[in-house]
Amino acid sequence: MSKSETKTEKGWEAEDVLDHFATIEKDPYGSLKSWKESTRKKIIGCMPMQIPEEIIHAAGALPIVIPESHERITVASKHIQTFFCGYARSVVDAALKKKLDFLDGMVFQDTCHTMRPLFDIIDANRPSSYMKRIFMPVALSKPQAKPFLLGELERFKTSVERFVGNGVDDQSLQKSIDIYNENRDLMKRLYDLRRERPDLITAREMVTVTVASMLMPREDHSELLKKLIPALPQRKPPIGDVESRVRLVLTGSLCEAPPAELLDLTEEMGGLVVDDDLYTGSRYFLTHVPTLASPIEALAEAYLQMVAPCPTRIYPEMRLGPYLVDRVKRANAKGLIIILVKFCEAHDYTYPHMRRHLDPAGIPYLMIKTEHEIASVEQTKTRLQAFLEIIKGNEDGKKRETL
Amino acid sequence: MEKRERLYNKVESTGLIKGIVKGFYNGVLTAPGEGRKVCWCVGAGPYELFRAQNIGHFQTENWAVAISSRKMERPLVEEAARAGYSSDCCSYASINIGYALLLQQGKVPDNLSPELKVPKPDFLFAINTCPSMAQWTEALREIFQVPALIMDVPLFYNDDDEVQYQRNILYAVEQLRDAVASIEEITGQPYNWERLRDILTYIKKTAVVRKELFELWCHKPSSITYWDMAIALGAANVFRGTPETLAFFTQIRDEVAERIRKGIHSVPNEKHRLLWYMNHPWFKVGHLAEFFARLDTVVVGGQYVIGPYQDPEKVDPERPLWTIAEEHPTRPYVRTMKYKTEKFMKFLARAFQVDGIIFHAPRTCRPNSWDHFDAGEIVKRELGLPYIIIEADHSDPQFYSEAEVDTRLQAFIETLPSNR
Repeated sequence: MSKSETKTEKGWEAEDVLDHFATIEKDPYGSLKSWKESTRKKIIGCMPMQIPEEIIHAAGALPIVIPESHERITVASKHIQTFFCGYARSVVDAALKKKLDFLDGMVFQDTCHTMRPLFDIIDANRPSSYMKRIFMPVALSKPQAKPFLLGELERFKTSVERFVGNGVDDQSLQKSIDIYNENRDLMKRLYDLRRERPDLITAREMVTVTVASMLMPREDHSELLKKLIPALPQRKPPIGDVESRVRLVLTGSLCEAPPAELLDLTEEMGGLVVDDDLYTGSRYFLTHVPTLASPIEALAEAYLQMVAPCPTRIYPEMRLGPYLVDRVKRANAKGLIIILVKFCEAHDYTYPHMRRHLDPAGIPYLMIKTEHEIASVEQTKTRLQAFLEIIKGNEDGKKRETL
Repeated sequence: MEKRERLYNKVESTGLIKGIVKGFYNGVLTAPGEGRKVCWCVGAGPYELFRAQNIGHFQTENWAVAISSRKMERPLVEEAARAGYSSDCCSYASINIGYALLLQQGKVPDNLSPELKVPKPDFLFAINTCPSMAQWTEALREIFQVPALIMDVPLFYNDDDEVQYQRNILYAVEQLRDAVASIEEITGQPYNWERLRDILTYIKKTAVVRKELFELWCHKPSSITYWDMAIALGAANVFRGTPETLAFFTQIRDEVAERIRKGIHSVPNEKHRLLWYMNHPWFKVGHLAEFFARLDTVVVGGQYVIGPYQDPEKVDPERPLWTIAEEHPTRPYVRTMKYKTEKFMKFLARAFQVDGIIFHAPRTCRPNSWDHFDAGEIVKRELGLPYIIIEADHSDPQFYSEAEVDTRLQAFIETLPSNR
């Protein structure tokens, strides 16, 4: 990318990298279009959550995760009901408004019942030249799950090879896995740094870093992370007054980035985000693909052994509650904010499950529902304020008791 | 207020379903006392597997329909909401999970019909043809702390892909084999294959009768409609495979044949014929049947009330697991829009000779409302049929505005060309 060339000579500061990521997040299609013009390579848009992008990468195309569009939904309301999640409606809207026309292909995974009809709706109205569906088993611990998934991934690989026009062998697939794994490791380092020095990067910036990784060549993103990580501690911390803030973990916002206003508000009200379990956060990069003799089997294993339990999948039992308790404790956080996307039914079912684990662990939590057509920020503000005050009150009480 | 005489002329023998329902749920209620295991089945699936092994079982959605048809859902839904389940979750699930929570606390409402006070499960079964079934089952598993058998159902996303079809069916068969092994373990008895074959034989015989009934169902003017078949649906679905359900459908078939011979029609002055697509507000069946009759309109039929095992040729009692695998995991929810418009809309619209289609979009059921707009346009373009989409719900009356729905339906019917 042109910016990385000019910046190398004078050295990168954290702000430069973060600004670059923010530009990509703000206008993802603009930067992708120019990338396509300069490289003449194909871009394949993936629906969020589970698609193994490495297979597309190995075939020589650029996989991206299609982001939620923040535009008002108009055209889509004649194709999809209003009681479907904002992500699904906004993607249909973007496709029908021809904003996804620059994509050479689109891949759909059967994540949930809302994602299931998206293929048909887009295919019937504004298809890309390559439209592909895959099905990844839902019941992950069944003995049949792995052989079925392997078959599905092999079929997917063959189909991508045919479309892109390049064969994918074990060697090229392993190389792509390595590239993605390197990025995952760098993201983990960045998150480790945030847990130690949460004042160095805002919650909005952190989400932007992850979102950018979904929208640009992973190699380039890694190069920028290598500049960002050492540069961050040199930065003037954007968050002050760390000691008096309430350390928080964010979870949820499946398939889409949480509203930036909500992240800003959390900090304005005295919160300090020290870790997250967001889709546009640690969920996206925590699962390292293992090294096995067969790289496609490694991708299958990574999916079946995913680190952050997904509310849309069944294990022998749901592990999300214990996972969150552990994540909050390890981050030494004092509270958890659960971000639930309106009409994300799979996640809705998981909320009482989370409560069953968070309550006995004594972890305060606040559930916030987000909608595409944002509801009242004022109301969220009041709830956040009350939540943070209660935690502070409890903490002060504990301190007094120990005196 | 003066009570008006009902115009809708229902098929009397569908009323026998009450006895079947009572007998069926009684078999669940008595299970623990008789030392039989109890299984709650989430999703439209292979109940015959459990019946063959004499397990007290029922389908949670069918049970929720029984609750909401009797307008007893409110305290159960409220309990689910108290526990944190969103009102955006499937209303069947809210009713059932609310009941599970109350049952666990020993606080089941007294006014619930006695036969619907089902006992706690020893295990759960789920089939995720509708993806929500997985999460619903997980909620029950967490409440009752009992094992759950899950049948994972893949999509058939390429209609003509024979390899995919075989892969998916094989995936189902292997899981069914595992389910049988689990059932043997849970019941401590070898699996009763003989009984399973008997049940499938009854299903096959019933399918023959239902096929004959289908021919009569297509008769114009109608002597049986969507609403009669909605009442009978449970017998094709969860109560299937018994001498009683065979007799039930035989009686309906004979009554309808008789009605046609005698010129007795469901709606006295039939002018318009409509297809209903996907599920319907169960708590409004009586109201809707009468509402349409007053507008000289017959809602003839729809895929939803046909139920499984429509084709006797596909039921092979000698290959039970393959028969089951080719039936339940191939239902509409895992099919493409093209397949659904061909098989469930265009085919039925022609068979029933309808003038238009009503699409029901249930607020808390996304699988039943997901591609109505585009499917509607396809059928309109290809068959020239007008359509309307109404937003309501299958089981939660709070999402049903009678005045609004009635006004829109009436306006739609007024635009239909009269067929006489």
